[in-house]
Amino acid sequence: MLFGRFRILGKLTLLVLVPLIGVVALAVPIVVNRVDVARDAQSISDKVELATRVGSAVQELQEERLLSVGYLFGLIQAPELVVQSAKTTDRIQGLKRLDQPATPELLDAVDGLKRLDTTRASVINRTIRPDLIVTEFTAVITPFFDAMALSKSADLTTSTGGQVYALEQSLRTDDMVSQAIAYLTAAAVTKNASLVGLFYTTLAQLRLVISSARPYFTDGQYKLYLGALEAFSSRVGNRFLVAAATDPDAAVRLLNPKTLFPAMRSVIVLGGFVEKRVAADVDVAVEDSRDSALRVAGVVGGGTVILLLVVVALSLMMARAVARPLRRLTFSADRIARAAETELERVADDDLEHARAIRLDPVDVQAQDEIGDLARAFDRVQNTAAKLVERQVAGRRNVAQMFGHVGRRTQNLVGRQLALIDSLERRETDSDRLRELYRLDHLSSRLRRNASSLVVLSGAVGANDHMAPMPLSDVVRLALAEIEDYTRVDIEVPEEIVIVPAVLADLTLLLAELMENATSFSPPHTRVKITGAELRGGARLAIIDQGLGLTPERIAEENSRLTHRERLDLAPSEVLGLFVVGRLARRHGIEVTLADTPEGGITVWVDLGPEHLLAAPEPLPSIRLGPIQATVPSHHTEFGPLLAGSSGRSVPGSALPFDANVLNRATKTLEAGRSWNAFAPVRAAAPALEAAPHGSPAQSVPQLPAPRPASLAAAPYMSGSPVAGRFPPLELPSAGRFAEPEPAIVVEGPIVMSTPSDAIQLPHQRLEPLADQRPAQPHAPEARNAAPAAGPLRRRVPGNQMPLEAGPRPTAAPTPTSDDALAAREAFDAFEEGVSRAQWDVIEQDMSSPPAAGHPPLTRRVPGATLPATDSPKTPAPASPPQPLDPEAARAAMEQFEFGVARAMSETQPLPEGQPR
Amino acid sequence: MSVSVDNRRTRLRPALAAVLTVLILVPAAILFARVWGTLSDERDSTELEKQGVEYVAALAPLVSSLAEAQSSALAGVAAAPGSLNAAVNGVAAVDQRLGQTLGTRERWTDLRDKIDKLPKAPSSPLLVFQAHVEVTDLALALYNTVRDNSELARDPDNDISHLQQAVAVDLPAAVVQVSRMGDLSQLVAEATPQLRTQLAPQFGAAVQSVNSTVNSLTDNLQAAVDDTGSTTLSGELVSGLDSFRRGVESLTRGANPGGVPNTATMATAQSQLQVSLANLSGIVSREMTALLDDRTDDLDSQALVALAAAGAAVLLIAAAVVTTLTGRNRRGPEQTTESASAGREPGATTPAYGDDNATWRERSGALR
Repeated sequence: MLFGRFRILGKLTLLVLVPLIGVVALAVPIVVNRVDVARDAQSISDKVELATRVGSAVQELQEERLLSVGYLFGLIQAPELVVQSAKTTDRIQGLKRLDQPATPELLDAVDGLKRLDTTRASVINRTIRPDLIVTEFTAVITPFFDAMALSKSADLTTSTGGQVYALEQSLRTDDMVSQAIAYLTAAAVTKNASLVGLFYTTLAQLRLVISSARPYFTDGQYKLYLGALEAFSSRVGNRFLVAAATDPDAAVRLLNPKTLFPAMRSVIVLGGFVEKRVAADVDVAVEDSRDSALRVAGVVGGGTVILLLVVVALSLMMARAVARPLRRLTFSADRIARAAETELERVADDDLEHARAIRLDPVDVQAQDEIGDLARAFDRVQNTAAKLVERQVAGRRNVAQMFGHVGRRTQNLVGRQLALIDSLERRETDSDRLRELYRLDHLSSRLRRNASSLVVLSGAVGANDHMAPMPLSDVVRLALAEIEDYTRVDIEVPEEIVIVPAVLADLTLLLAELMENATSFSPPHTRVKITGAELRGGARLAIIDQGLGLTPERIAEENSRLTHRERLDLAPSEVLGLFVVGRLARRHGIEVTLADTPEGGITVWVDLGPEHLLAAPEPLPSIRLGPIQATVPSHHTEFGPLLAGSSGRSVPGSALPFDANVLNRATKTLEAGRSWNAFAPVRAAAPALEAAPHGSPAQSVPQLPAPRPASLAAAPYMSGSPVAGRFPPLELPSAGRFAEPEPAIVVEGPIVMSTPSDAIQLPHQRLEPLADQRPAQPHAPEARNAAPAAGPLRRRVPGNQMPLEAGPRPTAAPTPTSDDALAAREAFDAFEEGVSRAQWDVIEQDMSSPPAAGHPPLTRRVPGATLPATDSPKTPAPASPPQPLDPEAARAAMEQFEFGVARAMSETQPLPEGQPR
Repeated sequence: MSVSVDNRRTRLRPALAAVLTVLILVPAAILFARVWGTLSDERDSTELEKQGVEYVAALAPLVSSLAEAQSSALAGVAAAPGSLNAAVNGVAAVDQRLGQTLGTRERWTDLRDKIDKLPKAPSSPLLVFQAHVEVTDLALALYNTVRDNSELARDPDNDISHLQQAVAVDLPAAVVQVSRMGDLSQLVAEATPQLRTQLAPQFGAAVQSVNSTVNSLTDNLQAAVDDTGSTTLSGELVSGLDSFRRGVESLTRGANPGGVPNTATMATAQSQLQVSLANLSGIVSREMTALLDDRTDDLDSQALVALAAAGAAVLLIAAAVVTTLTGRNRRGPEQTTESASAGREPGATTPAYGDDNATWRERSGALR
């Protein structure tokens, strides 16, 4: 359609334009016509004015004519005539200098004055006949009337035109009167009857003209006119006029030239006044008509212009009133569409944890008309849409939260299961069943990993129970413990890379998922290799499998999925592990990249940034001493039992199967201590025995090879017992091994450690310590965190080890420098003695084990306080450590309290989701 | 830096505006004062001229009655005609009002004394004539005084100038000369030959001056009609001038220079002349008053326009001052809001949607 192309403004303009054009088209002719009328009136007015001027000038001529006749007969003197002639010439020539330009005819008439020169000369010489004077003057005068052409231009149908005609007639009749007077004067002097005849002829013409012009005069004018004539006839006398018609000779005798001449001179003036009166009337009428025409033109034109302006202004305002809200609405809608788009994109694609409420601006239109309704409807639409999206998001979030809760609950349950298994393992003496138990343990670990993955998938943040840094290699081993085919994984990770505690739990999970993927997507006979190296201040792990691999497109897709947030429901379930990995990696800023293994399969690069690592070798030695002493007394009690366990291992009297677990736990403790030393000298809590051997490799890489070959250096290694602690369960779960271990372990330790890449040993290594760690936790009454395997110990360690460390430190310090194996042994013994003594001190105060004062391991094992400890896995760790009195009792009280609370809550309400139990 | 510049500018601007206002106001005020002065001068002079016209109109009966008194005194009538007293009283009334303004008081009192002392008792006709000539000359001089003092003689307009010439110079002179001519003709006719030789030239001069003054009157009236804004003047003058001239003609005919004067004709002509003189004088006075009224109206409207223009200028300046004052007041808060809004970006106050820290939640979640 034609109108479709116009915008609203255009349509309104079109709507308004047509009538406006019509109005203009109607108004313009009217205005033009009126202006023409006014111009005509103005020209008439000009002509009338010219006529009065010409009439005045011509009157002088007529007067001169009369004076000439008078002079011819001696009625006046020559000077008077000459003065009049000069005056006449002056006035006639003055017609050339009027305001308005003279017409050619008028100029010709003025120039015709020259023809009078001879006549004037003849008059002065008195050599001319009076009738000739009259005719000569008339011949000069008449062109003036013709030049003005008043009657030709006058429109007689109008009153103004009639007046103009009357004006010309009065001019001409005045001239006739003048002629008649001249004839009469001449006749009065000469008594010539023929002159009387001429006079009478002129008078007859005059009467004819007057009567014919009668309709064009107004009454007042005609009366004046008649008055002027009457003045003439009264001076000559009615008798004469009557006689002139019948008997000219007798009539002539009635006239007295001496009295007649002055009378005639005064009469001749009167005609001029009448002309002026007519001219004034014409002027007034013409000006009236001109003014009215101009007024009409002005009113019509001005009205049209005002109408135009008003209509244009109104239409503009209307257009704005319509178009502006529409434009604002459009703008608003556009903006809202953009905002909504980004909002929805964000809400849809972001991780759930980042989902925020949608906030859309209201549409910015307050109009009350249809546009306002449209705007409000639009507003409702967008609000509804926003609510829809919000509800979807809320639903998704709730589902995710349910995931998280289920995962956490599973985590807790599995943690408790692990604790149970652990305790079973510890009590089990049958090696076959113990092996089964270990398998069960392993399965549970994997189950717990799955639960952790579920928590991560839900978007929640899993608890990180790690408080102490840990070497990367141990992290890898922890992860390895949580996958199925751990036997197929080879580890080549340097020990000296230490991970900060904040990322430990998630990094473990991340690596476990990657290794799980690597093992499950590669043939069973292939091996998966994990290597690690420092890289640009950070560290890089490579998990290399020899599987089928992926297409490059798929790799690119998965890589992008690792770096970009994606919604859970968009990720295919088969790569759920990668999803977990991606989420964890993004959370901690770990770069995970998939790449092809050159021989086939997939290589996963895990890049840890510097912020994930501890780079603290330098400050270690310098600050170590001071804080150690300072912190000696405070943590004595807390860590006592643990170390007592470990030291108890060396006590001959307590050689029991339990000792192995205790030893494991102690091993872990020592492990923790080692890493402790490595990264935080201030809190350096590791026992001196461990600190010495592990500190040296951690401090500097080049030192690493040095201690290894040296047996003296190896001795503390063994005494450090992380290795020793792991091996016994690997080969034999029996505690007997541990009872008299030291020399043997010293031999084995270095071997194992020097070949960490050993395929067979390493998995076992991982498996066992981890399996052992768990049982150890329930055993230890102070192990509050049942769920994370390594967590509780790590967390507990930092504060507690300090005092223990302090004692041995002076003896341990010289150990590495002395290079003396015996000295090292002595130092170790002394340390253990000190530890056991400390343990004894603690145990004496231990409320939970009053009877078994002599045997710390037993006393700790006996009370069964472990069982309530497992019931309350969530016991807040930080709460108890500060208590100087009795951690066990405090914990028991707390657990009871929590248990009560949990039961109360489970009874009162349907198991709130946030609480695992 | 910029603040100080701004302050200086904002402080300078009103000062500059004030200076400009004064600079505009002063010339405008001067112009207005000049225009106003000119207008008031013209109004004053117009008012004066109107008073002069009134005085002149009052003098016309006096002149004609003086002429009549002269004729009657010469005819031997002892008592002065009633018209003379009426005319004197009329002029006295007018002089009472306007004499001070026009400066005619002394002349009028002098003239009035002379009129009162005109010889009542029949004495030598020549003496009587001389006394009347003296009085009429004084009356004509009074005309001139009025004309000069009322500035009628210096009127810039063509029509009024000619009309005043006609009504205040030619018309009384014509009347006076015509009556003298008539009286002289009688005196000459009755005088002894010795006296006749003395009076004859006077008579001839009177006849001449009658002709010339009548012609002059006619010329002046014609000139006035030629260039007048009045539409009624020419029509009114036709009959008035005609009758006046007819009166003059008939009186001249009655005086009959060179022949025996016709007393009866002269008597009728005398009365006719008086009527036509009153008529013509009235016409001309009316026309002049109307013209002067027009001029007064014109001046009034001009004064109104000038006042309106001055008022508009004052109003405009007042409006400008008010707007600058209020505008400065309004600009004050505007500037503060501007600076306030400039201080903080609109979007800066409320953090955008996805801006809040992503790790915060994670951290809080971790704490939880």
